[in-house]
Amino acid sequence: MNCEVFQLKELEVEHFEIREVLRCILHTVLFHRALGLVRPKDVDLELFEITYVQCGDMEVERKIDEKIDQFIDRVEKHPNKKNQICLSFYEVKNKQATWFTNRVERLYWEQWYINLNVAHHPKGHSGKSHNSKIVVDPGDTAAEARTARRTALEASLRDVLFQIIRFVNDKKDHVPPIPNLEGVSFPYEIIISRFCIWDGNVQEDAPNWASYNAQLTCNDHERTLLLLYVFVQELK
Amino acid sequence: MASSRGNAPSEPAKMEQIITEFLAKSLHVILESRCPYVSSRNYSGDQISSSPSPSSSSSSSSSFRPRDKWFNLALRDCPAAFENIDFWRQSNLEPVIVDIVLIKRRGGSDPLNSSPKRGLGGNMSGKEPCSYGLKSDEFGCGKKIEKIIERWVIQYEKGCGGKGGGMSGSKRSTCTSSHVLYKKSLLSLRSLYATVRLLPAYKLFRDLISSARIRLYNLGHRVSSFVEPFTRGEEADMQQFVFSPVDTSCGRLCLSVSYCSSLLDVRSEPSIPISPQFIPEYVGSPMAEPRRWFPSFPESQSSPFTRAFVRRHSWSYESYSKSHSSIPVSKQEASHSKNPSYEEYRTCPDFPLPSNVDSKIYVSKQGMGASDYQTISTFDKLPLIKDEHRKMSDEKSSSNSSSSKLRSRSSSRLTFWGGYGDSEFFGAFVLDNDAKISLGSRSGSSHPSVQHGPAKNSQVGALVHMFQNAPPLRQDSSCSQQSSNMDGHKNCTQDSNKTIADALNELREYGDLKDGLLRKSKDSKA
Repeated sequence: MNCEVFQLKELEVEHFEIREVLRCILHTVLFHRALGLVRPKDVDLELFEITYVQCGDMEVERKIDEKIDQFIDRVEKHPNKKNQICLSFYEVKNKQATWFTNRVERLYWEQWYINLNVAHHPKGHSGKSHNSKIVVDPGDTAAEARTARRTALEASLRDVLFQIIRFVNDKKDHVPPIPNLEGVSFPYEIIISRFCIWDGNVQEDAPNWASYNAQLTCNDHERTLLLLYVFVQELK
Repeated sequence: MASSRGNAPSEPAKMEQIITEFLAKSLHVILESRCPYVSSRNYSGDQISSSPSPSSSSSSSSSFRPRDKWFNLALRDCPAAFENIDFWRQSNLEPVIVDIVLIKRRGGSDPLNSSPKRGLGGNMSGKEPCSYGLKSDEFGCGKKIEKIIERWVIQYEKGCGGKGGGMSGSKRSTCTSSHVLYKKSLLSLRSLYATVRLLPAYKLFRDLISSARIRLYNLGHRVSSFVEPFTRGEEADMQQFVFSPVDTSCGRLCLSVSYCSSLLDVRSEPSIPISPQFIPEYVGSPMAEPRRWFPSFPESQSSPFTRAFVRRHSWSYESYSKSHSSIPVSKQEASHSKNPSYEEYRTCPDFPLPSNVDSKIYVSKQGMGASDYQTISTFDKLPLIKDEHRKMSDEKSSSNSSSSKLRSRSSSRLTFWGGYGDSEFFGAFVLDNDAKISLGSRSGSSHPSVQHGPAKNSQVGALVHMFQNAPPLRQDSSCSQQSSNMDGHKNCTQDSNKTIADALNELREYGDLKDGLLRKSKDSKA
């Protein structure tokens, strides 16, 4: 089965906007993949005039919020870096146990990459630029710049949501049969990448990156080995 | 395609049903987010109700209705969608075209007459063009500007060559075909649900269903299977979004929307806030001047009657103004006849009388109208005073005019004060010098006597009552006067120009007359 990889448009966000933007995107994707019986929940963003849809599953909401918290912590610890969240859907297949693998194997059939470029802001100063090298324009100029930036981000976020809708509509054959469950019907995973493995032009190279990313999201043992490898590479 | 079993529906029947339900569900999704009508079953736009987790599926399944389970999407009630889908249930080959219309007033209409939540049910399905699902009287009297801001087209294009998953001749493939169709239709509906909330018209819908303000525009819809194409100008303002078609073995399901992207000018138009406001001091409320009609009424002398009176609300104020009959009022209200609002109060028939009110005493207002009497209580001494005044009235000079009757009434009251020297009454009259003047000029002036105590007013009223009921001093002429006075004060309206001075004069005359009679009686005894 092919693993469809969808790279979403990169968004430039400020620290205080991370939570809303990620919630909007992650819930929109999951709503399109929660193919069990759902009662949709419309949610209005506070920072933007956008209404997105949640599938209404409390467990999903909890897990997403947890991952967003981790992402925010990661961003604060590693500022000035592009950050990525990978939302993967997989099927669980039983496999014969080996030394390095569990009996259970995950076959990923879809991955969504959410790319955020977070402007660095220390805690407690949301909404303002605190780069000491940049002189903050006084008065109306700064407010106008913020408004323009906010408007641009809202348009970009809307583009990302339409991008998700188009991907969902264009690619349907790879979706597994719908199990008879309510709410989220497929197991999923949210991984926060600490470094950027996306160069922005990987749509064509998606299979290679997908396989690499699929390796990242493999079973626990392999994941541990790979993380060790990556850590060593970083030290070098 | 062979049917699998006798009892189970055949594959074509399943697919037919999936297609029909897809049309119905799509219409439901669209109108649910464009039709401002909200049924009582619905939750708000930001619904909090959540679908159950898989672990608790058994307990939560009962909350879903059968139609919710189609495509695993439970939606809010939308009567407009249910009304319009019957036609396509019979023939799903006809396209479902939904026009979302923006209706704006063109001046001269009362925005308060608009009811965004009312009656936006679309017209019945049909091929012929119909009105835009909005009653003409719901948007005021002004002219309306209508503009199609969205056009949704949902149709099943029948034709061979679809690359659906189904393959002929295979039982498993036919089952897969309907399952694949169902899965893909489900995915399309998910996308549709998210898309309708991202389009500009959704913001208008949310503004309309917001109860905070009355908008000067409204949203209507029209569902039909045939519409006129857009003009070039209209098409230039429109953008299009086409959903990927869902292929079936015999055709494909198509879904697209043409929408107007520039609706910011509509949202920026002024609106009328209708937020409720509490008015604590409305006219007639106890909080707004509870003693408004009794400006001189002392706090300490409040009776149950006045307390009940104070608690009257604005509705009772209206009933006051309607009634003009004489209304018994407590003694404590005797002096308020000058206040015009007092008259309204007096017309209320529902006043409970306090226990200390023994009888009704009437005083006049503005010329002693028959209905302008109020009651005051009587006292123990009144019968004695009444008898004495009866004697006095026998010697009263005859006068058949109503003025004399009036004079007798008022002067007897004053005579009582001037002649008997009762300390209690004297005290009342002495203290009520201003009241004497005010009693004489009953039109437009206040009654300060009440300010000095309601008991004194009741005494005056008792005297007046006594004099009214007392037999005339002169049998020949005063009897008729008394009888006429006993007839219920019908002649009280005739003389309206008596002053207190006249009453005092009459009182002095009676006093002199009484003294004369007493002297004569003493002399005769002697």
